[in-house]
Amino acid sequence: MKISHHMKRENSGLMHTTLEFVEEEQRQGHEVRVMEPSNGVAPMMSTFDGDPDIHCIHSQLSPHTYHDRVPKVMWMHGEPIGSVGNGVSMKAIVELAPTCEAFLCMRKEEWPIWNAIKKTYVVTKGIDLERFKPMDPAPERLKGAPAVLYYENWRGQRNPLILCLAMLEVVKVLPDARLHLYNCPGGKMYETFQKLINHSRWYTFIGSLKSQEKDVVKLLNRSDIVVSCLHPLYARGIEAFGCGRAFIGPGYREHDYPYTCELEVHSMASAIIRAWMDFKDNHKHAELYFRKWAEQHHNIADTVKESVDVYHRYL
Amino acid sequence: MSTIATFKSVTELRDSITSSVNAEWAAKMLHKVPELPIIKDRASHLVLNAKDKVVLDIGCTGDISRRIKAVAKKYYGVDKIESEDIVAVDLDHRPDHIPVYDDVDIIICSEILEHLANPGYFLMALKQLYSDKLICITVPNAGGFTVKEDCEVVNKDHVAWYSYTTLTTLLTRYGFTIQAASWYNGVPYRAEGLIFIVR
Repeated sequence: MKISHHMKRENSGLMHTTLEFVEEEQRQGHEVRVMEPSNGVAPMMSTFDGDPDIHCIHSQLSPHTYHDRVPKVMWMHGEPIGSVGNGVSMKAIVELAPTCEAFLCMRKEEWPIWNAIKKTYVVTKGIDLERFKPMDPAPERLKGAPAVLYYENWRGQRNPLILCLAMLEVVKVLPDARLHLYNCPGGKMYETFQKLINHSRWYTFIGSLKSQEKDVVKLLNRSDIVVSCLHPLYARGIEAFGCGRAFIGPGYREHDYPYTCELEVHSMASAIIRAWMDFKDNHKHAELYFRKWAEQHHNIADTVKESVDVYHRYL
Repeated sequence: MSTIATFKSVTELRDSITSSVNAEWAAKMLHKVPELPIIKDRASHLVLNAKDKVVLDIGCTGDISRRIKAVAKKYYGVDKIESEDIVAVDLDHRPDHIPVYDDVDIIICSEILEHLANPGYFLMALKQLYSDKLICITVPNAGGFTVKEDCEVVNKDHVAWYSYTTLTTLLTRYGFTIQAASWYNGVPYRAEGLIFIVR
């Protein structure tokens, strides 16, 4: 199948997820193309000539493509309530809905909302398990027992404040625990957390406050537990599973996962402590357990197979 | 549809999007700081390093120097004003006048470099006079600079701020080899100061 993906050329979770789809589609023998919506003529990357069999919209669509009679589906990467809240996304989605055959989403909780707008299919939320995997030899570990990692894309309310407060409870039980904050964008966000850390003396348990780390796989492999403060999403935190690391996030409650928590300090602290106590004497066991979880529930190969099945319905 | 794609592979495209900075600019302007240990108390650390050693203490007024003197095997001091055990030297203009003592084990330059208008002359003289001696240099950290409303928080006698990178550059420019480095008082990058052990 010839699949054309339309996504903005900007560093985001959406971009990483989309490019992982593209790589997996190639591995499964499909032809692929990636287009920037603002440029409907020259692709950013392409393995075929001529028209595609299907367009996959991830953010916007170039007007050149609106009426080309090629079937279109739209991927729902964001969360519906937030899509209304940001004042832009939901409007754009509703405007594009008439041009699309169907929507695809990756969390069953969202399905009723998206399906109210357009016929929607739920597919597995997968990650590239060839890329996100335990490293051998293992890289030097971040300090702490456990070394807790936060690596979300910080913006606005998407920040690790709740996790910092949860860590205050964690260190009462696990005094060697350390929190490593990565991906901090600098500017006011950096200054705010720097002041919080210094004023509240959180430097006793915060091991790092750093900007973007290019090698995410290595960073995940250096940690013990990865925590997200997102709700109701969990974005790309499941990359941790691929690397054999525990993932804790208020938005993650899939498949009877044992380390769920609420978006609340005590609940998050409790999940971190439980995840560490269950495996603290056997890191290898933890690595195997969480890697297996990724293979069973978050394999991008499944995502692509399921989504290609959906595309076939509209060719 | 033109199919002349900008990137040949997904990897190339991803790298282009995630590398937010121009490579030439990054090579010149972005310098990774290694993970350094954190010393909670500069004074105690200096005293510990001086214990039972023959110490040359450059810039030696104040309580820390008194504590160093109390634990040192033998103590030599250098400062602007002469007094008991302290030789007066104009470190900015005649650092070559620093006396040479053959039995010195360690030289301490604690919070002195940022006072000097000619730090290069001072380091050049130190390297010539004490070429193989261990030197402990501490400076306030540029990353710890703050403002309070409309005021800069800085000692009025200071003429420079040093960061891990600028101090490393300055020291290596004058032939010193960095043996160890650490932050003191605070968290990495924003700590109050830096401690370098050089030779």
